[in-house]
Amino acid sequence: MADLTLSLLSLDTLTKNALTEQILKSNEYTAQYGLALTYADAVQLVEARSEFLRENGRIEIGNVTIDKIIDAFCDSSFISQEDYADTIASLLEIFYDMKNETLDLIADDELIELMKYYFEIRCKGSLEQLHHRELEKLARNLRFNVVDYANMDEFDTELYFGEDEY
Amino acid sequence: MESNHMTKSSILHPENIDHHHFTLSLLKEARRAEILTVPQAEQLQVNLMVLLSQTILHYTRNESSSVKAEVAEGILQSILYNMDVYLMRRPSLEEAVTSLLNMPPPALFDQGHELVKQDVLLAKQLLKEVQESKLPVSLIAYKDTIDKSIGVFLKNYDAQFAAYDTSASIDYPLLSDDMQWTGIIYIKRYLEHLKLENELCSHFPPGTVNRLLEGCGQKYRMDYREILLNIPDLILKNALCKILIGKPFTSLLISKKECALLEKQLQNATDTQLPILLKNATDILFMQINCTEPALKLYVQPFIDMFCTLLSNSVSEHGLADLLILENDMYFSQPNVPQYMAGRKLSDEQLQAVIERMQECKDGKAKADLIQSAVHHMEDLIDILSAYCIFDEEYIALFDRMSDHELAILCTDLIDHSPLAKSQTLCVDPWHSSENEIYWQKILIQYLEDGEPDRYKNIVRLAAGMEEMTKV
Repeated sequence: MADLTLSLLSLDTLTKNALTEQILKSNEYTAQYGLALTYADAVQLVEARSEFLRENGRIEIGNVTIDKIIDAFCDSSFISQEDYADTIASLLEIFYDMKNETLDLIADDELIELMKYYFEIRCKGSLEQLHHRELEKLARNLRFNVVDYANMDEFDTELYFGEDEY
Repeated sequence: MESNHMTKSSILHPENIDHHHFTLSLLKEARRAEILTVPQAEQLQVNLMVLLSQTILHYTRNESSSVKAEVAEGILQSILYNMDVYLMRRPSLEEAVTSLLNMPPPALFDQGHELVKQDVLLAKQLLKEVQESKLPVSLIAYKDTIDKSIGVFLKNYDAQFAAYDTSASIDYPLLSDDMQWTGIIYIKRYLEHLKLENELCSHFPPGTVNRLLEGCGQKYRMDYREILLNIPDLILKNALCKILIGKPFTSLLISKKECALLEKQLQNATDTQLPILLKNATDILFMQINCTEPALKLYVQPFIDMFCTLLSNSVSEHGLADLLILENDMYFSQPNVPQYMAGRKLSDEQLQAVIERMQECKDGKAKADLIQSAVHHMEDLIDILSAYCIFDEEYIALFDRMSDHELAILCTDLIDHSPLAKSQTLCVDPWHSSENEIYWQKILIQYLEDGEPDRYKNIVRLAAGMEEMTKV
């Protein structure tokens, strides 16, 4: 079965050029927000995607995730041209990590939508807070079947008791 | 595709085909025979990966474009399983390769999937027939497998994304079982064989079968209802031996005298005579029970071959009594020897409490006292022995209070099967035991080896018999 995983990964290699082209095409849309990726940025993003997938033991069908993240985050007031490529790469890394952490209990589109909301409203552009505060809590809520899992204001039992001891 | 018709039919070697991984081994064989060119094989692989991609998206209901690698591998296995079912049912290997070359993977999958779904329906029908022919016995594994486990499996079986999966608590062992099969193929074969076994056993009066089962429980000093044994295995061994000594098998139990007589008779039989004797006995058995089902005879044959070897070994080692179920008096011939009867098992909390109290005991005697008063089941005792709450000499105080039969239960996993072991001895298996288990097992073996040789021999013999039962 390991051979078959390799086959899947080799198919992934075949699509790398197409993916680079696809990423560069997104510049047409993001230009209105003053954001653009260079060819080198796009190649790096494609490499980073493969690396993140490998690190997280995941296999992706098609190349839609980068596009979806670019589409969702390009209008963010916390992203500038200087950190655009790095931020997209970090968001991609966080996305695959969270797919694992949430045990795939959340759809791609909903996860990206929540990431954008937390990033803008609750984290004020902090990737650190987004990853290790908001999304980790989201993952925990999903794993424990919390009904209102996306609500970050929900009373946090663990935190409450932790603080009460002081 | 360059060539859509098989022209080199004779060069496919059936012995190179692994029926448990049919499609992949067929691909490999077709490549070896150069029926499939390298570009064709690569194209097939690409097509297969495209099918996998589509199936993964179907699996996630298009809500996720990525999955864990193991999920993807499981889905791929399921796709191949469905394709296997279609291809292995082609009339010949050549036609299977032609289908592989001419049909796109999605079509192969769809055709296979239809067959898998038909197999599920057939298995449901078979289960019904097995339930209807269920024997009136109290074996828990037998009843649970037929009444619950297989039904639950069939209800939850996922023919699309996990067709290869055989997750089911099927505890009842068959007379002959190929566990390399998986998924619905395994279950269907299991039910077909169980139906045949029920058919065989139905020719023997239920009372006789139940007495044999009870005898088995008495032999191993266990509640027979909890033993994982195969019913036809017991019936056939005793019935065939009854026929070999020219006795009717109205009662399947064999007396000590009959056993000794048979052992003496068979000691004179040569290696070529024994299979013939056994074949004749089998023919007589099937004739007397009026069974003409050819499938049943075919099914039983591998067991008869295996029994022939067992019989020959038992006779040469004067151990025929260990192989058969003898009349009760045999097992109770040693008066005043305490026998282990399982009592109530402790809950996890109760067991933990006993372990904690053990740590407070000052010596082996106190620990043995506590175990004697609080522990009534061997499984609990084994847990306690491995719980690092008894040390070195303290074990001796406990072993001193145990009967041969209880010690034999502890030894069932310690029988030495290495080719160098000349006779039955005990040894620790470091590959399948934890550090804690090895610790007490070594002390137990030393304790028995330091004791009376006859007692050692008796305990090992009992343990070997119990181990044999669990292998059935």
